[in-house]
Amino acid sequence: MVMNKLLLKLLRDLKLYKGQFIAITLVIVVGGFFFAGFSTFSKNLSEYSSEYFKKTNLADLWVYYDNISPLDIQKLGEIDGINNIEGRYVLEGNQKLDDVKTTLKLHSLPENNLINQIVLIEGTRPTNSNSILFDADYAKEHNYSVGDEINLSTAYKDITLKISGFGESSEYTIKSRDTSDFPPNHKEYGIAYVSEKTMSNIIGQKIYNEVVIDVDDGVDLNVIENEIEKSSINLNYFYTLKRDLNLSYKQFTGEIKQQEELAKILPIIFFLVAAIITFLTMSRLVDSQRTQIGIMKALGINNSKILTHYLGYAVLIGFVGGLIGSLLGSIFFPKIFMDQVRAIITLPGFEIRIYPIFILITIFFSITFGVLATFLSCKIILKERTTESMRAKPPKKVKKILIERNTTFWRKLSYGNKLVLRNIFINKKRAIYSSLGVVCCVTLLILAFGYKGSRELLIEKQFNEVYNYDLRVVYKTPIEYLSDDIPYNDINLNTLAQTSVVITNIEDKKDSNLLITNKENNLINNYDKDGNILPLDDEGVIVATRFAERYNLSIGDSLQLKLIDSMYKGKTIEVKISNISEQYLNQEIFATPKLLSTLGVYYAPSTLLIQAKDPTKLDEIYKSFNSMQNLKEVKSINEIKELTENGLQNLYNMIIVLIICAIVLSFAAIYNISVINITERIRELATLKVLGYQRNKINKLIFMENIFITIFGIFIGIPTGIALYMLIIKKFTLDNMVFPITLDIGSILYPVFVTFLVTILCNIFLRKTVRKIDMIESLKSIE
Amino acid sequence: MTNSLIEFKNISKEYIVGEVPILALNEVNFIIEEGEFVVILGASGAGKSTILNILGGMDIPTSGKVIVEGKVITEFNEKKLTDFRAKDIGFVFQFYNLIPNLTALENVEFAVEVSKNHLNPKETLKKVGLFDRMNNFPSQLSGGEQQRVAIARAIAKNPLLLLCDEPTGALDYKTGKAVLQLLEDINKETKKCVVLITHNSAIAPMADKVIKVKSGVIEDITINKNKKLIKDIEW
Repeated sequence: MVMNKLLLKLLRDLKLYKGQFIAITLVIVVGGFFFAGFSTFSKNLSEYSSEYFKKTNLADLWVYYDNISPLDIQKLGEIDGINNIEGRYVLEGNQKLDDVKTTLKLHSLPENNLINQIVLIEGTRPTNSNSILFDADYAKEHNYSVGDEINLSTAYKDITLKISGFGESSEYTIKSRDTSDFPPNHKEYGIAYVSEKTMSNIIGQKIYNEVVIDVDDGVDLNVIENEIEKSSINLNYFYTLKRDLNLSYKQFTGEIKQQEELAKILPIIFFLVAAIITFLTMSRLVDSQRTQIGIMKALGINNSKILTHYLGYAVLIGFVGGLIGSLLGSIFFPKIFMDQVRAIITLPGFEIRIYPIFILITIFFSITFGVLATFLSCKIILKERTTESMRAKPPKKVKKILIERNTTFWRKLSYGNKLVLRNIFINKKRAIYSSLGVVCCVTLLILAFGYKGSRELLIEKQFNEVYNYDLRVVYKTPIEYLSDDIPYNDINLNTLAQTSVVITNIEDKKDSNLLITNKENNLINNYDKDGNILPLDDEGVIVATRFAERYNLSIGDSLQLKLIDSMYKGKTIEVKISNISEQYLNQEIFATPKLLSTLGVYYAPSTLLIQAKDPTKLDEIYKSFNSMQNLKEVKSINEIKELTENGLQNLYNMIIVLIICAIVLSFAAIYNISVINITERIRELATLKVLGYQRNKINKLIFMENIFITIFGIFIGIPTGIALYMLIIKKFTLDNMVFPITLDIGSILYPVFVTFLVTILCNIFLRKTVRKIDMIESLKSIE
Repeated sequence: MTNSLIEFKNISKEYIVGEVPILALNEVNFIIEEGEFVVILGASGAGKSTILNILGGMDIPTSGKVIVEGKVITEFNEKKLTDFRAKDIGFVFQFYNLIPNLTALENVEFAVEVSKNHLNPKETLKKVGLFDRMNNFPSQLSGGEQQRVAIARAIAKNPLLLLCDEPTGALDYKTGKAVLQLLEDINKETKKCVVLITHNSAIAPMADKVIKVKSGVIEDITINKNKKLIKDIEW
């Protein structure tokens, strides 16, 4: 019977403290949303990708040759540990469409395709001698449908083909041309497949230039790589790439890793904040029921029953909040972010899965925190003697506070402000508890705004400082001489050559872009970390800070660069690092033609960097280049910038979610603690009402106190926010995306401003609580 | 006879508890004159607290009028009613209700902030015999001393009347008597009207007028022709 009545009390209490319970539940909902949502999102991506790679049998090794015959491939396949081997010919084709020149990476596809299998989205595989399969993104960008005829030009011949279907390959989850082409541009770059027969028709013979290999489980790839090198000694062998170094795979796993890194920190922070707030509120709530607990004890209800009663609140709130939060998170969080992920990564057949385990974990933890808080505060009260707990807590020893020593200042204060200051300083613990919501709010907002600032700064620095050019014109072939139709008078012009290298003397043999340009080129700039321009020299190369840090390199160290180019057949050169520069988007190696020529290497430039002398003429210049014949592409810096911004959109959504969550959390925290503060002082406030204090004056007292607490919380929150921002931004750094770590004043001021707004909003809600205070409370005996 | 200060005219108060209406006051009528010492007497539940709430401007009756100095306060809105409490009523509570984080002096000063023609807070504290302890916080004062601060807080506002709700209820006999003595002195010296609400019929003889309440109606109004001094009353 007793339990039933206690249950009744629980339900009535819930009704009585409706606002507060809703607020805590909301806090848990937000924490659970973030935790379950982020975990679900991250797990979805990683689980999907590993299944995708397995299902389509992504290659373990890519081996590049100038050419290799089917017979030689058969021989290679006899190496121990190789499960499957396939040869293919890969070359670039171009399409000249109305508004744009596009590049297609054209592959031959064996009839019995076992490695890097195509996932068909529509139509069929290209089995006919005149059919082609496009990747679905490229097709979508150009509104192609199955059966359309397209024209393709290659170095060998121009042909007309019929689209047999659209599909995706796990080899190209991120379809970008090279490391500098990120995020991918599906309009200008696509992946295409033709049958071996069609390819032979294009190139005129049946040979391959790439070999993809699927090895047996548990085989050491290095051993296989060595074996391949040995067996290829009489072939035109270039180099071998392991799966980890495959560009698309690397970028993709990088993306996933980035999500996983964030998934490790951010949700836990949110959940922790929610837990702390729940903890505080529950313990304060139990504390305020102290005398009731005393009465229950006096009535002979045993401790465990009382404990169970109060734990009931925690379980109920934890369950409801955890369930709602994790459900919302599991369903909506991945939805919010998936669209943006899809813009970068191609994931055919991806469907968001809900993992009940995350829902269970969320509920488990939200209940645990509440139960723990309740248990701890109940234990203290239950330990007291019955008579003791029935009495109110003895009043705190009141002392004069420190500021009062400065009497002139103190005397000038109104009694209301004196009261506010004493309330805060005498109950320091309570004030600190109360400010916790503000601390969390400021911390999370600084993270969010800092993030936003870094993102903007990255774009700004990369596109206004590092890249100083307006147009990037890429020729199909190395530029031997510059034609007369270039409008020389209107532009500043410089040339650039680029090639891929593998750095062989670092642990993971990373590949990189080598940019070759003259010292005088001021259209691409390198900066040191203080913002000074670093000029190129003929003694060594410039590398990126991120790269140097990662591989522990410093100025003067040597790099072994293996040239991946058919021309040099895997020749390795050794260069010294002469400077380290801040690079945000790409991590490139810069060298001068003179430096390379001393090493016996010459690359003819194939890219022109162009700056319009008169910015208004840029359109005209763009058009004049776009109409030239032998160009691969003409890209304006604004296009690249826009593309990069789109690629970073996901981050933007994250920031917005972060800001909203921070506001909801802090609002609930500030509101909750304030309501408890008011409830605790209800007698005092009721007395003020009886004494004739107008309601707005009482509101002002509470408002002032909250403002003081807010100011205090802001002072704590700013350094913790900065620390969190630094931590997260460091974790977030990727090879091709290095965020500048600088907090501008706005990133601090906005959070402060928003926090004040939240406090003010809270006070508007609190007015209702103050209005509801019954003056008769002042006449009641002290409970 | 002096002018009537307060008039209760046909006051009824009905509370709805759940769905059952409870009549707390039923057609209550009485008059309080200026300078009078009035004791409202009644057992708990008789309706005396409701009278106090209505008289103090904390609650409004269901029907009837309360006229104070010619103003019908039952027609006041909340703001005017608050002003009325600030200016005209000096409350003395059973449990003192001092603000714990303000000193004795600050408690008085804080309260007079809302009243225009108030008295000097320090002087008032001196009058109640607490000049030496005015910088102490409530927790550093005894119950009797706290009630004296509360009385000082009430009279410093220079109100029309002092409204005392069981002012000795939480005090021992001797201290309680001293507090009543203080109220008697104030009434005598300042000619300020004192309304004291109690269940203790023993102190009725010290009043000019005794209003007995029972079950929501006035049972009896007695005028003491020969009122006793508190020091002569024992209980």
